[in-house]
Amino acid sequence: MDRVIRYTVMFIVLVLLQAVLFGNIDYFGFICPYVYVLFFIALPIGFNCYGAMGLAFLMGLLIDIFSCTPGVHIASTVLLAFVRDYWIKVILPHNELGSVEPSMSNLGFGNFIKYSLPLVLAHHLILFFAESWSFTDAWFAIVKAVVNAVITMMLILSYYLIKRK
Amino acid sequence: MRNLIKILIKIAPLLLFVLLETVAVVLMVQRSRYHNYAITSTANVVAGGVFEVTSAVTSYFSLGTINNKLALENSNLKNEIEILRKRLSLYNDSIPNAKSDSGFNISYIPAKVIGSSVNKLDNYVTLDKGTDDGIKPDMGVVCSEGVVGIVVTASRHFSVVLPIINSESKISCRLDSSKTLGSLIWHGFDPSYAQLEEIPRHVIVNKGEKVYTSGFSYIFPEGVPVGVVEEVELKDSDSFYYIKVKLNTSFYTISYVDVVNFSEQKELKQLNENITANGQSH
Repeated sequence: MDRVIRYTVMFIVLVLLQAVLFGNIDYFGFICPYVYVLFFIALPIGFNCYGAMGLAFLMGLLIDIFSCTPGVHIASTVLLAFVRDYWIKVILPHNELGSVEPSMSNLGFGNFIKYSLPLVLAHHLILFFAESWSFTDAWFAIVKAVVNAVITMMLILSYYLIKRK
Repeated sequence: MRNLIKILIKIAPLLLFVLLETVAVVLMVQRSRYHNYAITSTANVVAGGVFEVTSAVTSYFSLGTINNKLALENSNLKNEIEILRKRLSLYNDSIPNAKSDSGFNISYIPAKVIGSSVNKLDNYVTLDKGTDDGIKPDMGVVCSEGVVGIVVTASRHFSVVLPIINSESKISCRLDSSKTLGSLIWHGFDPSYAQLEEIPRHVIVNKGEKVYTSGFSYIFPEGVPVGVVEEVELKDSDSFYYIKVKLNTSFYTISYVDVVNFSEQKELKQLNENITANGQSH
């Protein structure tokens, strides 16, 4: 029960943080990290796949409402939740950890990066391609996705570093 | 039968995934300029409310610069009043019975920006006034520096503006020296620059000359400053110039705007629609 409340609070805080703070970082018209993906990185291993996708849809819809981008965040976040389940099975084929919450101390730094970086990158790639729908400049979308994925990753890592202390 | 159910259970996550993605794609495809802003636009109450609260806090940080800008605008307006007053007295002296109320009726509705973005390909600006204050779609939006954009949708207390820095924005503009008409379009990347298109090659374009609104679109009054020509390029094979315009409006710091209420807009629009309707019937 404690866990449910904790995740609910995290969900709401991340939506507001994204809408109010990170959605308004306008640096060179280029940098816009999407930290709300932290919620799906932090979901317990073995979390119900349907539940994750449902939450991803809800999260995507809320972020879309705040940023006037209908469908864009829904598409990328649902993909993240769907791929996450399979990706965990690839990285941890013999899961001895049970339904542990992924973090640097639980998975180890290397494994945590291996787990989270490809997911964040996939999310950002789909996001920037979906956003540029009618735009032809694919390289711009790719560079933007990679740069912002790295920034999002650094923010996620710093969250876990602060939490550990 | 049992096998079928087994397969279905196995691919159920995939089915849900496909279903949710389809919803997302439908939402994306339906996003066309004047439709479907209803579900996911910042004009809706929840998002509008949150933006209003944050802007109430953050607006304090930029009060200094806003004050300077307002003072500057004030003095410019005062100067203009003086010039006009002089001119009016001149007219009154020479033509005693001159009518003073010719031309269009334009009034301004002041509004505050409570949400905006510059880092996307399709940026929007959210205002704290809506239909209750007289704001309607298709109205032009200007600030003290220059043109901002056009209102696309309005709810009772909020409205959303399609600014110059949106890939779907297209604003009719005029060059200062030659009075040639062109369209101002934004292609992404830098929110400080836009491109002026459709200027034919026989026209002389100077670097540093000013770009104004044409006033033909019955959205903006004539002569609102838009920007300054920064770069001019003409390839031998092209029939139109490539003109890069530095925008006057700084979309990074935009905070107070005026919505243009063109009282004759409806009449003009009706007239134009009549022409196209008649043209089709012949």
